[in-house]
Amino acid sequence: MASKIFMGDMPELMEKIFKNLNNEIYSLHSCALVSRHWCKMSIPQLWRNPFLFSKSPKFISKYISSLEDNDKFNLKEYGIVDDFPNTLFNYARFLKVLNISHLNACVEQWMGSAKFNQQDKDKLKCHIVNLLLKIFIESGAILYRLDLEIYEKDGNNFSKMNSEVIYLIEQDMTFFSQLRVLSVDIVQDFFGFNLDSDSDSEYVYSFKAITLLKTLAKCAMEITEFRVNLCDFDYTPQICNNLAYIINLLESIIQSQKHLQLFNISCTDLLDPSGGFYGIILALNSQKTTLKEIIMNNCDYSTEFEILKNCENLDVIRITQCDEEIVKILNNKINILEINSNDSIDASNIIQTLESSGSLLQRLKLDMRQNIKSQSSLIETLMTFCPNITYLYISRIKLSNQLLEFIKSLRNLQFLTICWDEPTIRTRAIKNELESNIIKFAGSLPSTLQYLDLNKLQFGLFIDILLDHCDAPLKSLSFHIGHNIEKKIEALIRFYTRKMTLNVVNVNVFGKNKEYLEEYVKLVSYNSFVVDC
Amino acid sequence: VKLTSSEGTEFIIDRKVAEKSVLLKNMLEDVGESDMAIPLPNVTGPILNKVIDYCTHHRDDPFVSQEDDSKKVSDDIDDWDAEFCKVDQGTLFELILSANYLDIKPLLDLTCKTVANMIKGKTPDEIRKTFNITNDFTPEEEEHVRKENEWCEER
Repeated sequence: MASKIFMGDMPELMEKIFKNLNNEIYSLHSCALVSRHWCKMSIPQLWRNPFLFSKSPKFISKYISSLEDNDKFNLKEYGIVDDFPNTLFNYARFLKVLNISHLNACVEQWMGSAKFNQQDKDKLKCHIVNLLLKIFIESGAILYRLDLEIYEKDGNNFSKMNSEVIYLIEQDMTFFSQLRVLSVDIVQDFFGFNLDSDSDSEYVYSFKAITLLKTLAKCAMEITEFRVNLCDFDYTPQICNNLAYIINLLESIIQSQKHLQLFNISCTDLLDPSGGFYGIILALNSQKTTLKEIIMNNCDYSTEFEILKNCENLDVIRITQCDEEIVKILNNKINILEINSNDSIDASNIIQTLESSGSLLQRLKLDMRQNIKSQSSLIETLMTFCPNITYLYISRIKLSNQLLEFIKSLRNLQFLTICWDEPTIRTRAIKNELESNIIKFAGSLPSTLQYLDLNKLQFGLFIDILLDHCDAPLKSLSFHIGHNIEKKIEALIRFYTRKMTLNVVNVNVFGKNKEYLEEYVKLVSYNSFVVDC
Repeated sequence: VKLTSSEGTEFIIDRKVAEKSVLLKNMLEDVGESDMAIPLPNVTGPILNKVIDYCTHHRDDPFVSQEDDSKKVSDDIDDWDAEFCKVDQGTLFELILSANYLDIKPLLDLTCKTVANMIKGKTPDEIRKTFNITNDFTPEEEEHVRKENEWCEER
């Protein structure tokens, strides 16, 4: 007999099982066809975010089916003459993720496949987008995630919301009430656009943006993840009152949250970095007990970041292409630190943070294109203060004795991604030195290490020697095969046979070599191999 | 801490192991130190044994709150956990029910994920066979559901 979990007695457990199939559209679709009860339980999950699967926007017709007859009749006036028979479920109610861009793209695609008069296509698209938004709100959908783009020029996103929809959003307290993830892109060009004309359309547009953000500040107080992307900012307060107001509203949204855990700030083509962050970062002071993680992309240093020192539970920092001074000012105890740079990283900027994090630091990623600066102080600090690292990713580092001692000292290390400069082997001395270092490196790998990513080594020099001297129980291994392919493959198989731990390998072999290796280990692409920090 | 399974079998475990269960943790906090066994009428001996194995293995893991469903580092199930879940289907479902009753979120997540993995990639008929489910759709209903969700098939 089937378990009572699947017979309808414990719907919350069945729902929990189906949540694990998130985005597994094929499997969820199968579930919907198993039985009546399975159908009832899987359909809400299947219709959470159909816009993500925009390859087939046929599902839009099912939303349209729930329209009032006169709305359907209006569509006929636009040339959409399809029948929209009643549906088994009110699918709009299940929508959890709304990305205004995806919505627009899907509607455009859906229109492309429908039989209608091509004239006035833009007007029709706008009409349908608004109808759909109205359907979602009126059906009682409660969003989990909202992605908004307040754009200037393409005009096909936010500006298309009509007054009726804006009014509904303002009146409906539930649509945003359970919002957990909010992403707002603001492209400033719009605000400086056509300012002299003071045209009605511009006024209406910013009015809509303001009304929507106000509603979010009022109704969405459960956000745990908030992403703000400032694009093309050239802030001069005298002429940008609308922008200043929008920024104020973003601050209000931050301040009205009960438990904001992750804040992500990105700046794209910031024209006036000296303008700082207009108080957006300062607003995080209101979340100082809840904020756990901050992600920064392309941010310049601003004194506003000092406020992060007050965030007592902030223990995850991820920065990409930012001014490292930002890290220097922080004294938080960090559990995960990730710095990505297209240039080099000067480790002296993060030493204070590493010292104050101490044994709490478990995951560290320093990814850069040029060799790291102040390597020796970095290693010394890590050796003295941070013994509990389980995940270490350092690209562009010198294979020094100090580094090897450090790796050896990490008693909990499970994941290691590393890259050193591979020399051109011109003399026997260079060859001997590298070989000897590789043997020492292999010997330094701790017995806890399960994952070794050497993919950034361009030539994979002496990987065979490394494998022959490696005693770590590796389960996952990635490297570039470079020259001496047979030698390295044989070494890999020897390692596999000796340790019997290897499950997954990422290596660039093809044809017969690939077939041969696959008899021993599972070969995977780098994307499915890699474990993020 | 003493626990009694539905058949009356007594188990003695460390308080730290017992506290992996939010239900037991709250009970212990309310009652304080006591020699009285805590009866668990919804959990059989063999299942309680498995649950104790799990909690003992994960005794030092950090506490995961109900809210904290954020990003997992890797989607893979850890080796020990995968081995732990290699049980017959009846036991697996009993583990889900017990983890739910005892409020052990990581065990509930693990067992639900294991069941989800058993569903992944299967056709409706294969799912029915795997879990012994009767198809109670009329052919018309089934066709209707299929038609309304045919967008899923076009990938």
